[in-house]
Amino acid sequence: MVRNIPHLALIPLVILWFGIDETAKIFLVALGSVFPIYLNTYHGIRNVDPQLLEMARSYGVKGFALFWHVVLPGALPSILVGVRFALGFMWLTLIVAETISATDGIGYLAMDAREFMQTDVVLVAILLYAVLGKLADLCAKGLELWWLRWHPAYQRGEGV
Amino acid sequence: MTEQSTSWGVGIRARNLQRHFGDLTVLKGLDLDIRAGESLVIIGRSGCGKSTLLRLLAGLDQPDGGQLEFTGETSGTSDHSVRMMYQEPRLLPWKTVIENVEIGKVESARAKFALHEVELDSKSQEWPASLSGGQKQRVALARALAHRPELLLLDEPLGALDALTRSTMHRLIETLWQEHGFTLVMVTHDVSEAVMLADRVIVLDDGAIGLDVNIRLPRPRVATDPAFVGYEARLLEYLTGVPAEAPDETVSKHKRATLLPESGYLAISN
Repeated sequence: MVRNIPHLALIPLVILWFGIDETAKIFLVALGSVFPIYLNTYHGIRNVDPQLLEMARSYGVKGFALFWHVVLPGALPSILVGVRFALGFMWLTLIVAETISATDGIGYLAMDAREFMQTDVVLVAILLYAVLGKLADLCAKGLELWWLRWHPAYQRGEGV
Repeated sequence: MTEQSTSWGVGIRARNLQRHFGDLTVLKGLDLDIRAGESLVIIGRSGCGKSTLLRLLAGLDQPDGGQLEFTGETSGTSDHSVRMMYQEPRLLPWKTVIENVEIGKVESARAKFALHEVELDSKSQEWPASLSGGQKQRVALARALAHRPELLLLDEPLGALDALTRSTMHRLIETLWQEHGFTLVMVTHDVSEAVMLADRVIVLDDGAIGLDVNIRLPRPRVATDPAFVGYEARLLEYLTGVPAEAPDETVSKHKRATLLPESGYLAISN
């Protein structure tokens, strides 16, 4: 139920609760990015090959070692998909939060510039978001390339 | 029949072993003795319970009735080292070949040696995804060997391999079995593979032992040896249910008694 509420719909409530300072934005961003990661992690763990789990158990791997050597790496491709989704949501949420309820920040800068018809400042703000978003995605892609280097689909820089 | 002087393997004694899945009874009171160090091959039609039996031996599954115990000399601990090789290699794709062999707290020196035994030293730093099917199964074999098993269970591990690779694997498994002296229990569909590797072949039929044959052939065995072909024919005859008798039964039975296992008579008459 909770995850079916679009987190941006909570903005009025969040402003009432936390005011318009940093806490409100952090809360919204956290809320927006937790579900894609949670859902994909859950899906990833559910889909770890049961044959590998059986093999590992019969070779005496259990407890934390089983999680660390089998479950986590097996779920990692899904977790990373979740992370990339979450990064997208993160920027989106931040832009909306900064635009609607803020006293500073890039979004506030853009809205302020709109008031004074400063198109160049608005464009700079948009570009800034684009660059930050690209950087975050590159970082996530880098993590994928390193952590999933065993995966045939991620070898030789053929990342998705 | 075992050719090693000191047997490292463990024996098995099963009495009245039963396993049901819902209404389906897969094992109906199976009695089986396996000698320490023996090489036993279990064959049978699909669904005859051979994989179920192997999983019981591996401790991956519990019997619904009867007793199953390990016998013979142990390596000092009460905890028998039983390792299984599956139809699929089941390598962890995110670990290199050597890391896969080291799974389950194996010293790296021992893992290296096991990899050397299956002649894959050069691949130790590769990802499993880059290996061929036969190489993957060799890594799986090394992984089992690194644990110094007293009992090695093979569940049709060569089913997916081509004939040439399979024949190489037969030699490799035979050699390692002779060197290590573990007890070998293998499940297969392939009658020729059974005769190639087994001291003793049992045919499971409807949840019980239908046929129990000692294969008295010197190793290494040659598939074209008439005696080899004779054993194959006898097992195939049992499995397919096609009687190999000629119309004149007394004569044919007489022939069979005298000619088996030295000749391929039954194979010809089939």
